[in-house]
Amino acid sequence: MKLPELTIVGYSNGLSFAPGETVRFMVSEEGTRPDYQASLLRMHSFDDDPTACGLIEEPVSAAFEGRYSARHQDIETGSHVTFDADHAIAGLRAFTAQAYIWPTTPGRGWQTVISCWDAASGQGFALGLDENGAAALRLALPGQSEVVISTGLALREREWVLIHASYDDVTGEVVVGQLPRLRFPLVDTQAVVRHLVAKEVPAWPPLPLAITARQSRMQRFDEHFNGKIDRPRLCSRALSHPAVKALAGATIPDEVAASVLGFWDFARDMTSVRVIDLSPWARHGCLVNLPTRGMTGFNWTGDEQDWRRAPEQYGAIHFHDDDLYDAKWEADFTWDIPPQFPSGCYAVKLEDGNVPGYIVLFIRPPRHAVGGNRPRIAFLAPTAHYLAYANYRLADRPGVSEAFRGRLWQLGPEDLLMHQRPAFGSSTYDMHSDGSGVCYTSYLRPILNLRPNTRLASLAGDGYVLALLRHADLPYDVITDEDLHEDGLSLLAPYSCVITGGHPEYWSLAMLHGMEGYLQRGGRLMYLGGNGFYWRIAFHRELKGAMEVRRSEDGTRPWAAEPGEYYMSFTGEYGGIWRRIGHVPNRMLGVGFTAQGMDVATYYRRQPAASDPRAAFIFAGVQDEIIGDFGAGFYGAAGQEIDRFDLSLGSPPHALVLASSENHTDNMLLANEEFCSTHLAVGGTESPLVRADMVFFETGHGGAVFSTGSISWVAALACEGFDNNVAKITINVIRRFIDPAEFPRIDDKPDQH
Amino acid sequence: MSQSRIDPVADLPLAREFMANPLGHHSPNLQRLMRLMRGEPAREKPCLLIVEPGRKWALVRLPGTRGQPPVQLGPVYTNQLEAERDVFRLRWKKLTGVELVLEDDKQ
Repeated sequence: MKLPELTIVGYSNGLSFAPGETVRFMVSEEGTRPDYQASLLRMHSFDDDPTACGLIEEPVSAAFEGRYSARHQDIETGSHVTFDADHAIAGLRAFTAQAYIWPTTPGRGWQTVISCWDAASGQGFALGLDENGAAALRLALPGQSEVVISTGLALREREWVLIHASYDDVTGEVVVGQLPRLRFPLVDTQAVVRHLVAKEVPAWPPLPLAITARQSRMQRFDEHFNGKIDRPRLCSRALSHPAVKALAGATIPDEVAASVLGFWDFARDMTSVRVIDLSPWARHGCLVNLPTRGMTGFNWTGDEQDWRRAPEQYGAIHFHDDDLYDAKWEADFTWDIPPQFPSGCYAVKLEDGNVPGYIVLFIRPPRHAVGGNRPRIAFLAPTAHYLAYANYRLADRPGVSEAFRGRLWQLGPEDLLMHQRPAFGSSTYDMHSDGSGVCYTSYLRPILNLRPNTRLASLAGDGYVLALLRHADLPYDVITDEDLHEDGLSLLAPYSCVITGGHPEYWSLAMLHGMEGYLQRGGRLMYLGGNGFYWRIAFHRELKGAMEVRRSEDGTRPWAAEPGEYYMSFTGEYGGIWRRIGHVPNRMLGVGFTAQGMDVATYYRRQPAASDPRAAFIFAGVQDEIIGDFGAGFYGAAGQEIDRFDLSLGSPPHALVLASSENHTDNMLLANEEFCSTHLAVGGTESPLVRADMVFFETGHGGAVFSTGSISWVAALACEGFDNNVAKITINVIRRFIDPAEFPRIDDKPDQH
Repeated sequence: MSQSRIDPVADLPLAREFMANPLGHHSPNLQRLMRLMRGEPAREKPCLLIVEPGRKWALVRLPGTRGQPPVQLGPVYTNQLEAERDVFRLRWKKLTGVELVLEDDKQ
């Protein structure tokens, strides 16, 4: 049987657009199809599970609709520092190049640390690691053929070492050396080699400069270095051993000042993509493809954890050969969104005869014109979540994942394409090719898993909220995390009710402030998810669509940040889970993350507080004791990732716990931030903390919060033609939340739970 | 060091338990056995490729390294539980050296 293949992919220049704006669409054919059809759809659901409402795509007329010639577009991955052409180094006859490095993949092919290389003539030099992982110099003197001089001694992985190379044009002597910061008996990696080559050769032509890559004839950068680099230096004469050490200092030593060509301090301008040269030449560079900043340097002592407090110890940048910020494809077509275009979730469908590609768009209300005659409901599309999971490489990690999931992994054609084409970049759930965690993500590349029929903890589940609103004939606007980050409270203020998707996991401080302000002013929030408001994120101030996560300290996480690297480079904020940074989700939502398990979901049982008159509107027409013993994908409304009510974590004491889940399997495991020492009683059959709590409370400002505490809730909405108790409860709450009647203040009285 | 292993005779009741209910509550001993089976190296791990969302799945094996296509292992399933059972049988044979034969199979 021919397996389904996804061969057409694309992206747009953003995820959220307002009417009147222009969208550019970049498309690539990954197979051999000659052309494709592009059309616009309004998406009313994103999942085709037969137990629910199915995939609902509504064709919408758009000027770009039509048939296009297909072409393949390449992606150049790997991060490096580029310099303007006028920073090329002219008239050079001799040199010293050096840097502290922390190599993560020594021995994986040639890797360039600093290059001055004229690709057209094949002349210049490059200091790096050779195929065996030893410090080495590629040298092509004017009129001479290229030679490689290596120390011949492989460097140790993840150990700081000062590597250096020099050429003396008078003597013809080349020196290449490596000076490890730590030396070990029997396995010492210190080495210096000397080699004689031609002398008194003419000066090189102007040599373009690059750090961690070498420019090829095709104007591409290759031979990327994996690992950290600190204090790269370049000098126009061959330096003695003591002078090399002096040049590695924090300031330019007097004895070499006249010959310094570049003296970079990577700790400067940390939140930008500029790297600063302290030499008089001011050879400032630009970071390409977002290598990781805010990394501990060779001299980090551990006394400070915050790069803002000890920038001199954070002079390292971690480069990866698979870093990617912007795929830089050419646009195939554009779309001018009509001024009155209705807000909603849309997608451009790309059909080339194989599995169709999708470019998902969120059309928000007009910018700076919110208010007035808007619908009463806003659906908050969790675009930060979609970005964090963008190109989650499930297929690269079935090793531990099946045991984690408790059932066979299901992969879609998008997962296979990602597996076969690493160049699409990774998600913040993945490791780089050198094993280090991915901190940054962006939308300027195809996001293959932002499409229908992907994970129910993501877009596929969220689509059921849209389907419910459509089914109940409830008009709504779509707003996104990115809009909330940028516009704050003014984005939310026009709405009576804001509804989340199933997994609104990633929040910036500005997003939280916007939501807090909304709730303080009578806003009503329906949190229809689990594991929400969990990780802190930062958006880059210069680079559109770039987002950062640090997997710091604690929390359920796919990788752990290295010691000293918990502060985000985009903003200097302390990263990690909000629970540990003073914004515990229980305070705002009534519940907070408690457990996860991906084998099967279960149901809620009604609790005594459901009979409180304050909750009467929620259960109108719902007499059932058991709620949500059905659902797409996981067979229940309480599952995947779940949250619990907990006074000790800040849940409001007047909140009503309306229902709680039970009968979880032992694959539903307590979150690791819940215990300090490991023990066996963490599964769903033993731990009383493993449960999803459905909670309602009034904010005291006329508004209210309703939380379901389960990712699987939304995937149960559309079962039985929306004629089920999960949908009824949800619609009951929506209808009350859009009713302008204020929720009464609650008199202080003892906690009833 | 892990001391987990599967006994092809003594553990037959666990196989019966799994076949009756591949997903859901499992006894502690079956949980242990499943952790052993699911902990096999990534290079050999089967998974389900969605052929029709929610309706059809193909059992495939992914190569351990990026860039390689999947290998189809068996039929296209219309029931995920049948795939779970077939993978259990494959792993039983691999880990014990003998085919899994249950009473139902003999009838």
